[in-house]
Amino acid sequence: MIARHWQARERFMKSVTQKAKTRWLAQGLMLAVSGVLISAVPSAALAHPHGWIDLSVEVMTDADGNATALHQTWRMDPFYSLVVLEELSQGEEANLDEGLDHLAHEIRDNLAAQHYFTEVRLNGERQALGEVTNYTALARNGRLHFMFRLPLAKPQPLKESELTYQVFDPTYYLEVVHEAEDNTVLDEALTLRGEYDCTLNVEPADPDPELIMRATMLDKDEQGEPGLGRHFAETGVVACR
Amino acid sequence: MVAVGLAALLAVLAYAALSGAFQVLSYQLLSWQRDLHRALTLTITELSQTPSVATWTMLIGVSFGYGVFHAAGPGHGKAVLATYLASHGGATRRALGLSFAASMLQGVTAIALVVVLVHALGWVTRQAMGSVTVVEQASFLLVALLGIWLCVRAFKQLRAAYRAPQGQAPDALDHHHDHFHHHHGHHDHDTHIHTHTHTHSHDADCGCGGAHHVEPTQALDWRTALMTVGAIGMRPCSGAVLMLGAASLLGQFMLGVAAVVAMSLGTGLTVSALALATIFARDWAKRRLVSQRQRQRGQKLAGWLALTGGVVIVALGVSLSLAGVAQPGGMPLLNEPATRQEANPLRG
Repeated sequence: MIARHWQARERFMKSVTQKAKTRWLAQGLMLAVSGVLISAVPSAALAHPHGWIDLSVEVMTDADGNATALHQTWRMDPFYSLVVLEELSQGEEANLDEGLDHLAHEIRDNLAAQHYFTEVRLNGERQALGEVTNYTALARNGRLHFMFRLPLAKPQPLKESELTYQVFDPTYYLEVVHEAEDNTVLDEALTLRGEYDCTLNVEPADPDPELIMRATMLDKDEQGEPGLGRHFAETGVVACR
Repeated sequence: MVAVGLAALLAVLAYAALSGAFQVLSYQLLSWQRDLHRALTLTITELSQTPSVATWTMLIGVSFGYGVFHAAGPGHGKAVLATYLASHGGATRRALGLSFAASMLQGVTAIALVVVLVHALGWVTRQAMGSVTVVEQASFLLVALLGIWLCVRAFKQLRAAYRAPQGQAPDALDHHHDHFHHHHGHHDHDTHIHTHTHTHSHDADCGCGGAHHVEPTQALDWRTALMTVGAIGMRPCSGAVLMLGAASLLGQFMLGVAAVVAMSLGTGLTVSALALATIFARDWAKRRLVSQRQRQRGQKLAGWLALTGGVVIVALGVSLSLAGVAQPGGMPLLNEPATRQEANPLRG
């Protein structure tokens, strides 16, 4: 009887002190886990798109068969359009058109600082881009459209070449996708002006999970190509013979 | 020392397993979030034109799913919660309460912002979205304050642990040193001895396990819990504000509110899953690592780890605050929204 009492007592004491001993270990473990949560993936949760742009591109050419510019039409998503157009209707501008002009100017200036979200390559080689001077904004069916002509710094011959481009928001706050219906890219999403022996194609993004992880961990001032958006960018391909 | 090594090993293994899983998982989460967000936008737009029961059901379902996956990624709120639960323990019920309270508060903040700024004060939605950054800064400040608060408590714990002479139960002495908490602490201690003595499932912070300085009184713990909920939940998602604003513009504010509430419930589900995982991991570690003998030493280390937890949270709050905006306050591609006065001098 007494022995049993002592056993029980000992068990109780043990259970009490064990908690103290193990507590800090548990804490350490959980701190490590939360440390992982904090440090490993700092902004991935914030990075998913909160809006989107339906894109269509026309590749412009000159008489000599050189690609000269990308004419882009951005159709902003319904919420973005709604909120921006609301403000225009309440603004100081005398009318909507004036407000849209002002808006287009604002978007252009902000995009200029980010290379117009666009990267163009000819046979894999990155092409320098000029400045956008030709742009306009309009409202159609409740959607805000922003159109602009983005020139190549130097016209490039298309013959026997492959021109590729990507349009993306590096932060991936906005997703840029070619105009599509039921996951099929529409023909008018990518067109080529003029008669050339070229095939046009929009390749879907094929993100590499590892690269995405690296992109989320890359600091702004680090070397490399930061930006999550790049990995989700579709690629427009104009392959000419 | 063996235990320390074991804990370190576990941490490394957990890190390796998690980072591998994260790579696949985070990509999957991203694509789900993207699809759900788009579905949400399109459903609300559709619902404003041709309302139907099916579309309503769809909206609630999509919102809930969006909330679930939106919260599934790592974020500072969850880091704060995990650290809080780790350094403070907590019963399953409290973890669930904190998770859902924080998630609901996040939704309520977004709704309140739109009701007050847009509906009452007549701001445009873009300006309301701009205000998110102000609220966000306040919540980062609250995170830092929470961290400082935890540090102060850790200091008390450490002081008590170091003053207690070797071989003597630290509990007995602490009540003498800690005058301010003496009464409540003692009461707390008593209560737990009576109610929990023979149950082995009670949480580590309940006061009778020797580490009860982490939680000197129930009242103080309430303050910490409130701060934790506030720090996590006060920060609304600018996406939610945008959605509410857009729903208002479509004349369907209640649609937006319903969607945000469903979203918050979904978020609460994910966050509580994380909170429960934290508790299960803690209990698992508790069961496994029971061979360490030196209680005094454990007490001190517990104090140092609690302090580390506090410092981590302070650092988190300060760095978030210094980094400025974690989410765009206004609309991408556009300039920062002008203040109300500048934008519309005649409208007041």
